[in-house]
Amino acid sequence: MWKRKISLKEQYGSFKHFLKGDEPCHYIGQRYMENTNIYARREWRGVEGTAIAFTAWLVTWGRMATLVLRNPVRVAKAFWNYRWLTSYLTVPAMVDRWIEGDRGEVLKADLTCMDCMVADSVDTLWKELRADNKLGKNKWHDKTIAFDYTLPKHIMFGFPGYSAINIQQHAAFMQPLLRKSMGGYYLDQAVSVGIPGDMCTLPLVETGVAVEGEYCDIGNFWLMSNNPCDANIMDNNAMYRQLSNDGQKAVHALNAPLMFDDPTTKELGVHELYEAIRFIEDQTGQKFNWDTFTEHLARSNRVNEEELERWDILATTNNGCINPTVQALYRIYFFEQGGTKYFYNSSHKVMKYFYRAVRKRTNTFPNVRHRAVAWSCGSTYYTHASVWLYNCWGILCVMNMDSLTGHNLIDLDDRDDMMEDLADWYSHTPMRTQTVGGNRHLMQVWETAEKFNCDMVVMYDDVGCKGMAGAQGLIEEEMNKHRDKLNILWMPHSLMDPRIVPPAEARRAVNQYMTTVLHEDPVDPTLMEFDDSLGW
Amino acid sequence: MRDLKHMIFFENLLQEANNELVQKACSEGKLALGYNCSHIPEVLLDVDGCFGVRLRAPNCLSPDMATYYMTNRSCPYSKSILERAFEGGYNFLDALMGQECCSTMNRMEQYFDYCKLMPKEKFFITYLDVPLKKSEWHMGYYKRQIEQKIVNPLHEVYGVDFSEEKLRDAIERHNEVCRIITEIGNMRKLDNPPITGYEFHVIQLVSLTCPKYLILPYLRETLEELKTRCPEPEPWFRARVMVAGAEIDDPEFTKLLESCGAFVAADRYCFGSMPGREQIVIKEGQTALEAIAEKYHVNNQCPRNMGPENIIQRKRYVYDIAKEYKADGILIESMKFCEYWGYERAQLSMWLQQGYELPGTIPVCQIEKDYNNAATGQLRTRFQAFVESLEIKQIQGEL
Repeated sequence: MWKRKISLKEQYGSFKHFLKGDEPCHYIGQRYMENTNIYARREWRGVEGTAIAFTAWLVTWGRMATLVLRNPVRVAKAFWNYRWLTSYLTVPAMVDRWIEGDRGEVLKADLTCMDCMVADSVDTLWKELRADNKLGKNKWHDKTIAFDYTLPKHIMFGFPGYSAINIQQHAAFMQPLLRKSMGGYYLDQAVSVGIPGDMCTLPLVETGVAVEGEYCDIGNFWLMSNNPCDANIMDNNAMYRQLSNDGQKAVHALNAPLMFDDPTTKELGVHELYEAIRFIEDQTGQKFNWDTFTEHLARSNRVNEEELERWDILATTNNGCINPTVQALYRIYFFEQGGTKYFYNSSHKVMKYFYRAVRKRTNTFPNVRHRAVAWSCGSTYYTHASVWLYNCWGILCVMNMDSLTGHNLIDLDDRDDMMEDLADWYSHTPMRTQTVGGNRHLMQVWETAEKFNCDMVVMYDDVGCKGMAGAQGLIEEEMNKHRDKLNILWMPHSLMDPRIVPPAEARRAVNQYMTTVLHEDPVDPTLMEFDDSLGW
Repeated sequence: MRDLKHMIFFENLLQEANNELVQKACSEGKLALGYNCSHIPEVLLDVDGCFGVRLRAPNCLSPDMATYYMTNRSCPYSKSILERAFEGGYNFLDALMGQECCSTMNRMEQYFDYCKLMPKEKFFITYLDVPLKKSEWHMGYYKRQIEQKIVNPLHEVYGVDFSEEKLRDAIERHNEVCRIITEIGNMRKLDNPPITGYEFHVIQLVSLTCPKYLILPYLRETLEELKTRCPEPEPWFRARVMVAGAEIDDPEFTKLLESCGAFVAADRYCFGSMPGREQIVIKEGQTALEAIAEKYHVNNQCPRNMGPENIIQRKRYVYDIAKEYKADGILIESMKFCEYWGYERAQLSMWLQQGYELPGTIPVCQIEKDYNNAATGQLRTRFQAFVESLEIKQIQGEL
């Protein structure tokens, strides 16, 4: 039975504060069930905030229910066939984790973004299950284009009538975000066929899903990619048999140049796009529709314009109203899905919250002690680490590395320029823009910290990332040159498998730095030490 | 068998990158051009006035400095090269031809620059963006890359002459090396070959790490010697194996394998002769540079190449070579932390054992190794077990 450890009086001081939910410290840790990070009680955010969050929680369940109701038998079959699908039952808990401590405009903006991602996912998942031959053959199978999830969807919008599904997105990548233990399960499957376990865990999980035969059988062809790194090249190669149904489906590799900012490589990026379009035309028998494609790019441009505006606000004021976890995932998700109606609408709505906060000069994150830029790839099973950093230590990651991808605006007036700009998008993907193609990309961290007025760098240390491991000494030495302006803390993780670096170990590394180097006390002491090993 | 006349000389040449012949070439004013990857067109570095050296770090046992820069989770080959650079082992280099093919190797090459490891004033590093597919267009792109990243900078900085005539001259020299190595390598197809896998490995390595014009006389002589060399009265080995995998530039590895009763009949690995020692053919209407690009682009069998045609073709290549060289089994090796070969090893092994997209099946043993010949006790046990299993298959008529 859950018991309150901090009295209401101690937490809120007065009834008025209780009604507004504006306590100086949220004491979030006391809400967790033992050995988990699962709430025993929903977070009290004041009357209005709690009502908004609870409504959003119900809406999330509602959206999930619509997925089932579209075809209960087919979805039941899918649950029977695909272990990964069960993780989606924890979506409402994931939303709660990501918005821990949110209040006011931040809460509204974050829930808008979350609802967008949930709605887009439900739509994508439904289209995926609908077209899956393993669950029963129908016309949708042939009307679906399967492609590697690190490829942005943009060119697929030139084929109206076809649904484009980034095939590893929901079956693999999302798994630890929803339920952290799922990554380890699929990773073990990859290792069981002889692939070394000391590789990057993300492609291992993707391969593990293939080993289990748990990818949906959709579309008559698929596109593989070299994005973002060497390991993804190889997991695409390793999954060839599974995703091509033992060679029965046509497969095309759409590759982006590795040294993407080298002018001599521009031609490769553009050529690859045209080649991929030609491949899809051949496979579908449908001509590429430049109008729908350009229209989509225009929508994506607008989302990017708004994103850039949000970055300006985040960089120059304390009125930015999106928390770092939601900001990062919303950005990555947009990058992968493109300017769909969900992102187009939600981005506009989020801007309104930003403008309102700026107008009212609301200090949206009142507990900030340090403004940080989070660099390198963050953990998936501990995506909400940046929420913890803020709630526990007042470290607000105003920007993160993977958000700084594909935000150039596409020139829509000239087709050649348009394709060149688009090729830039395809080569500037998350986990790639800063980690591939030369050390100078990685070193953009210092100018980013300056641009966003940061006094801290949170350096995520993915123990399986070979690209980052190779640059360790470089980072250390460059860090020393910037220590006068920036506090730099390392936060270890292992991307998809919490058994290698549990979240508690990542927190311990931060706690040690904050107490022994910066000599600070936590904002929320209940979040300092807790065991969430049995949580999601 | 009687020892080969130049074997000890060859072995000594492999003790360090800056070996006797490299020093001689440098003293003659030749430009030393280092490289690390089979995507770099070796022949282009051997034009008049230059010589290419594929970098090795023999006897590098503890890459401490490199581990500081690259952690203990990075490819040991790359770290060993970096360590040797810190030790001054490549101070003779005038340029390094790098590539962004593998992140770790690329990081390592960038440290040459970042840490200012090379003393020569005009030393520079260049990085190729190597395509992952093999179409005609991609071959053209690769050619433009080598033009822009190798030919032009070397011409601008050192005035190297890459005229058609000079390129053809380099190709001729290169082809002679290839002819000799291939002829020696073909002797391994014989039932009772006059050469061991270890000896071949040494010969192949010296051809990669020494100036061509200086090593050629020794190679010519060795070939003639081998033609008349009497093999053992009976084959000395218990099984014939092919080795496939990542970098193996330590002939002691082959020696260890052969000490367990296996004869290394074919070498499809980085630093091996297959692919790599095929002659360059200049077709009608082709320029020398186009022919060079074609050879290095089309023949390359790196697991990073994408698309079904490449995925299937490189498995087929391994299978065909194994059959051609009468290998009873294949030892597939990957370097610790190598992402390319870590995956490829598992996939290749499965395909070969299942005969997927291949005309037949073939026994396989997978190992993961460090750069230097460490953990020899464990490897020896694995090799012995593999050789025994092949022997049993022979006895049972399964091979």
